[in-house]
Amino acid sequence: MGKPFYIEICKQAFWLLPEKAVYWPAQKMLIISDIHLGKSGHFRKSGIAVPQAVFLNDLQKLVTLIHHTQCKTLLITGDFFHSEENKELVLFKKWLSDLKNLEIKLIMGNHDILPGSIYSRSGIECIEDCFVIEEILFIHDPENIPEAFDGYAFCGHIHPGVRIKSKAKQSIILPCFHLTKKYCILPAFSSFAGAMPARKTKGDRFIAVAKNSLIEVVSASFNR
Amino acid sequence: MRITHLTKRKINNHIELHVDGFTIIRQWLHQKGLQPFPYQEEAWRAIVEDKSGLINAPTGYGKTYAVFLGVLIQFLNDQEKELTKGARILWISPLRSLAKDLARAMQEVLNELKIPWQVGIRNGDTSAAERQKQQRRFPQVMIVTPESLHLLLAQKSFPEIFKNLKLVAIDEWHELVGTKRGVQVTLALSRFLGMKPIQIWGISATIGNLQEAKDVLLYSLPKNKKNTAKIITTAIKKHIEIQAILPDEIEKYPWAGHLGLKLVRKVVQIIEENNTSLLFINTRGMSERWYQAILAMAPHLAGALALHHGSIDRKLREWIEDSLHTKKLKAVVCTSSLDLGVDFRPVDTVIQVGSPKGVARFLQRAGRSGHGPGEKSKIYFVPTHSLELMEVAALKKAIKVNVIESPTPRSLCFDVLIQYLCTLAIGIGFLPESIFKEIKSTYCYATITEAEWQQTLAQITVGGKALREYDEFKKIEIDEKGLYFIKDRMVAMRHRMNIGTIISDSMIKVKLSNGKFLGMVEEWFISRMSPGDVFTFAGRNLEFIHIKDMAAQVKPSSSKKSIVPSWNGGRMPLSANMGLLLRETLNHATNPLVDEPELKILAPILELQKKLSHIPKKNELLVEYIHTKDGYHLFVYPFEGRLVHEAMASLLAGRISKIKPMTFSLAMNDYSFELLSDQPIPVHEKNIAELLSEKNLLLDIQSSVNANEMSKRKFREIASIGGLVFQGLPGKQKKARHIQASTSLIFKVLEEYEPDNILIRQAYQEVFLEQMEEERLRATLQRIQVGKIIITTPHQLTPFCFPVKVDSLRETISSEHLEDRIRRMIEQQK
Repeated sequence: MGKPFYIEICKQAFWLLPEKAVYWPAQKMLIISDIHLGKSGHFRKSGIAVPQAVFLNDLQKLVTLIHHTQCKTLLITGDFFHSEENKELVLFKKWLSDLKNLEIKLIMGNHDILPGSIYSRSGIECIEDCFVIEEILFIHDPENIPEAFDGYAFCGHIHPGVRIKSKAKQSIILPCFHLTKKYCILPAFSSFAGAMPARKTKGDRFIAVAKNSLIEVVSASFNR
Repeated sequence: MRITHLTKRKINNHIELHVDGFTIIRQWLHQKGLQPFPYQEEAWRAIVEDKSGLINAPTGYGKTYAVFLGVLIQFLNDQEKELTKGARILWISPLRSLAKDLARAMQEVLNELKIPWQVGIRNGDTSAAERQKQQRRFPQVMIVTPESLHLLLAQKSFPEIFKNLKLVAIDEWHELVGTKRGVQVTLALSRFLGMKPIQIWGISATIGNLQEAKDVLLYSLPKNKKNTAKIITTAIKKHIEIQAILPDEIEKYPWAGHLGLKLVRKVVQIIEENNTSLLFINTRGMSERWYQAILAMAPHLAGALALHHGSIDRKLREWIEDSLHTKKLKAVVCTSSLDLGVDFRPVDTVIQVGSPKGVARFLQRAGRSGHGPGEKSKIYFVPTHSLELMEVAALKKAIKVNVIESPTPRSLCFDVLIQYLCTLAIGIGFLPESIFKEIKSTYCYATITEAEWQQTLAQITVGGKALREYDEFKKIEIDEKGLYFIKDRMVAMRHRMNIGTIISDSMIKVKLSNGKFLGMVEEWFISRMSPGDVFTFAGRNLEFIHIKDMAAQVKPSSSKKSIVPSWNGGRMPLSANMGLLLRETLNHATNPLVDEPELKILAPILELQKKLSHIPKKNELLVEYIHTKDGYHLFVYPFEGRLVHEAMASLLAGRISKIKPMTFSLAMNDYSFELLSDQPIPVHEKNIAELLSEKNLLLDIQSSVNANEMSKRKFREIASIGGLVFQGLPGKQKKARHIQASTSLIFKVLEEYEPDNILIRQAYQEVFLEQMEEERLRATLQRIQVGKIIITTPHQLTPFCFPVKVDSLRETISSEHLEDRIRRMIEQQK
């Protein structure tokens, strides 16, 4: 596990991890978003030969994180399974059976079109809209955060990225955690997902994932 | 194409045409007061003798008739009683727009000779009704594009359609021989030859490697047929006159840029002095600007001036082409969209704006004027920046000593192969053993190994490497007899829509609110617009309203300010020949005895360059090291074209950063390249030769980060041809979104998890061979080693470095660790 980037939200400590996850020590909760399991299988079923190793690797990374953090709960803020059922789901369920003591909560995202019963049979708790612990809200799409809500939210959906520009006309896009005053958007956990350069608003923070470490990008150096 | 191209001249009887068909054709021509060229008669004889070959003659000398009338003679000789079913002659032409005129002319000949054949067209413009009609009664003469031909191969009825095929003609083969479309053509030929013997005739303009072009085309023919095949050519040469349009005061003409609009007044003058002019502009974006600028300068030309480029609605383009024939237009601003094909008789003047990048292209454009035999072609050259005037002098020399480019034929394109196999699998299916033999008979795949073939098959049957138990990969299936076929209708449909090797950005329609369709524009351009923004398209200023039903809705705007879309693609690199000619021109440019007006007028600029830095002699390489507020610049001037410069730049950057880890931003154009860094660059007289040596060339390039970046870009085309991404599914089915990913993402995951994938390997291969032009790069480095390298340190930017600084494509290369690099980039911003 890479070196965490510590942040404090609503007087609670959170660790942002370079594996594109968030850990909440007080709750022993691991939070990830947009893992898009089964995406490679879905492509392959349609005759597009993307390597299946993508899926295996993501799964491996997730299990390693679960072991390292010793988390009690895994919370997924949406887009857990990419599309319809396929055999990669079968393999995932097999892995799941080795993690008996883990509580898994899934907030449904737009890609999660599998019927809830498939999840509940595997012991995954499905949550339609959002989920609140103390003052912390978990939701898939930041657009849907209730306006009246005055706590802090963790969400996904966007696959945020940050473009860093510098002298000599250099530029690079990295996946990132996008933190605003109201919410934090997680980078997509899946390695088969791109990153969208985020629009900059004053006061936002961008924690970029550069291979195995996290680097905060201050606003002057990024640009849409 | 017109019959009048055959000149009236005295009959000479030295060729003994022994059979009846000849007499009929000659009598028919004679009635029209025409007489064939000797090369045409030579071609007819060869066709009658069942030979194959390649025909080469200048535009306007009846190349089409050299083949077509030969086929008719053959038919008349054979005196067939019954009309055979299906296509007899397949006419492959790279341009859709040529088909209509060609078909009309052919049908006319057939009718006059009372030969009961039909001429049909099959391409993207053919309506569904027309296609059905053809299916019931297939025309004897079929005009197709390489893409529509492959669509025919995807039909179950294709063996029936081509049962009686006798001859395949490939028009404008010089345009196809170096491309993947050319590979498509040769694959189709190998398929026909696998079924039955056919004759193959290529038709080509002059290129440097005609012999090779012929060999590539006829590669699949049986040996005895190859031996008797020949190139039929004519000694006729076209006279070309080049005139540069010179700025009045060279001191005030820009040192850099790519528009040349300062000369618009002189261009208008030329347009007015002549009957009909074609104005060739290098990119679509620039053509829009020129169109506007000419109208602003000469409003009375409104209605007599048209704009023609690839994104403009087909109907409008056809109208322009028709109006050119009928003398309704005074001038047309166009891009390479009018490079090929139909001759517009009224055109008497051609104007080229900016570098034509190659001798062949320039000649072809010049040939658009004065087509008639014996007529002179006249072409004006408008420089877009002062240094381009050197190219005029170089082009004049090229024509004098007759140097012309040679397109390099492609080899081992696995993407095209995968597409072809899937095409066959939708049709009647294929047996791997027999199809492998056919494929191996083509030039492109002659060197394919058994292992590569197995990998190709694995890619389409099991999807590369897979965890069998948990995998559901589905594309080509194999039946109990070992036949490979595609059963899934969705997979077949997607494949059909994807056939072709021309990959464009995803395009979006531009429509007025009354529904009138104006043309297509790149989606990314529209996506950056906000409602109310004004842009220039198809020669008008349009206000963007919104996107609806996959079309950009616009309304006319009177706003003076507007954005001009910049279309990607279409940027040709300078050819090796032009590079050499330019270096030679520069060599004597400062000679006080120089008499070319283009060089004389350049004197003040060359003088300044000499004062600030140096003018390289033919055997010298100039390197300028300049420090400005942007950072430290290293300019290098090999004059070898953008592609070679790109490779050299990353090579040099990679080697320098071994001395000291640093990040460069690279820029290149056809004359030179630039390395820009925020830290001093450790290059001096002692190490420069070593840094540019040929030693460890491949290894050093492979290890440069840029090879990866360049391959990623190449992969866009490869992934699309090889069926890893789909184009052209706009709003078709919602579900399709779930199987769409960007090519860079697919490249990333393939590289990481399956680096030996054949398509990834092909991307790297293409970068080395085609993109970096390895051979040419090697030759350049050798030339530099035996010559002299001159490093200067001017205190300001020089006239030579301006073009690359202003108009260039940029990349970044780095040897620093990603994390360090980002930290430093962020540091600088504070």
